[in-house]
Amino acid sequence: MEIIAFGRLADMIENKEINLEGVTTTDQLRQKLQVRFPFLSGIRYAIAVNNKILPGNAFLEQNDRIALLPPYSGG
Amino acid sequence: MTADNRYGRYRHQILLRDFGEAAQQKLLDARVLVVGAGGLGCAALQYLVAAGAGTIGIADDDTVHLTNLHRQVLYGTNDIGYPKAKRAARRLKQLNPDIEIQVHPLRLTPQNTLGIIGSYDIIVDGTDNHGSKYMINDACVLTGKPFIFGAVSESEGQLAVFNAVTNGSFSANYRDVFPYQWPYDKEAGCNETGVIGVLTGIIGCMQGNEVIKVITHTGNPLVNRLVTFNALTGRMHEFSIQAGTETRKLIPADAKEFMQARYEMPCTNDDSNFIELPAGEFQRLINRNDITVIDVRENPGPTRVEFQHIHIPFGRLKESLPTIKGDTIITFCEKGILSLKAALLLKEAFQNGKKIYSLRHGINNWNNTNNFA
Repeated sequence: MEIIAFGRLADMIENKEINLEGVTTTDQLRQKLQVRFPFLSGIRYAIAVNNKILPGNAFLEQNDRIALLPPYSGG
Repeated sequence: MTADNRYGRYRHQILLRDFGEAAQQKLLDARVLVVGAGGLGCAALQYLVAAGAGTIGIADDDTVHLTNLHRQVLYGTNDIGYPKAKRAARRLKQLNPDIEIQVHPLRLTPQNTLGIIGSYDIIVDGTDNHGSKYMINDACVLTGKPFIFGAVSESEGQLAVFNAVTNGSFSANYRDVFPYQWPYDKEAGCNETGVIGVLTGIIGCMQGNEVIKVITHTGNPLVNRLVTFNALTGRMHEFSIQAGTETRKLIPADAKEFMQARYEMPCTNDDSNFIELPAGEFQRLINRNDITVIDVRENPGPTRVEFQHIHIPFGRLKESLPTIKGDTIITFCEKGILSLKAALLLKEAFQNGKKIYSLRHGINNWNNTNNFA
């Protein structure tokens, strides 16, 4: 699985090693990421799998491309 | 005015294949509301006025500040201290006197939003905070208007057309991407986040472009699609979004509920202010006997509530304060909107004397979660 992160998440996550062993759903991914990066508990983000933003929990496969998108509020 | 004169200004877009006089007339007949005349709004407004969007509303309660000028290009140094909506209108009138500009020099709130957006066909997001984005999104869903969303942070922007009619139903809205508003605006930095000025112009222009496509039915608007653009890398990404069946439940049911909803949230980095309790956490707490659970709904209705609680309708909460016992209080309602409002009221009333929580997403969601458990 490849993970790209956007906005502030990019600075925090980029180039960091993330062990995704045993992760088969987006909920598990969130949990795993939160343990690895505790700051994520204070940040909302959407998860896109293969460029598709999915509501709720979804299954993940080995070759999926994951994107983490935080909301922006500036104008 | 002859057709030649009327359309003369717009000649070079009328010449476009698939545009022509018919599309121009649609644009001239359109009523567009731009909420927020900041970085995004200034860019979108200029091109909408230039392109001949016939009636344009500008809603903004702010005045021009020196720190705005690097990105809010409708204003000059002489405008500092003056209301943005009025100054923007004056400048836009110079750009194209044929356009009708309606100035709303006020802040949109749950009380006045539906009334104001009601007379427009399409709403452009030029706001600078999460609360306003959720509020306008929900108002657009309630009134069936397309919502041209834009947002920026530092070097990156997001853009989408929400709630447009496509194939006979409404497309995805903001809550299909970010379902819930958090009770405190922790992420934003609240105006303290830097932003590349040109980026707001780029995203604002793209919003203007989407408005024109939606109104004139040309091209492929960003319906069910979210685009990000990074000004530093020059990269764009596109994501597909879908209208979720559960999303509508997160939005106030009607105008009355909308007007009671709380969208404006204080800025804080203090975690102790997070008072919304997830369903699982609620389940753990209600089994303790030192907890006071309050149903704040005006009319509790038929929803199953199988735990010990008291009923104090939100309207009577203030006068009932002395009767509320216990050190930990949890409020709940149908969807978690009114109960959050109640929790904030209680937090203010009791200061730090009690722990106050609101059941996130309400009793319906909790019942569903429990059924699955």
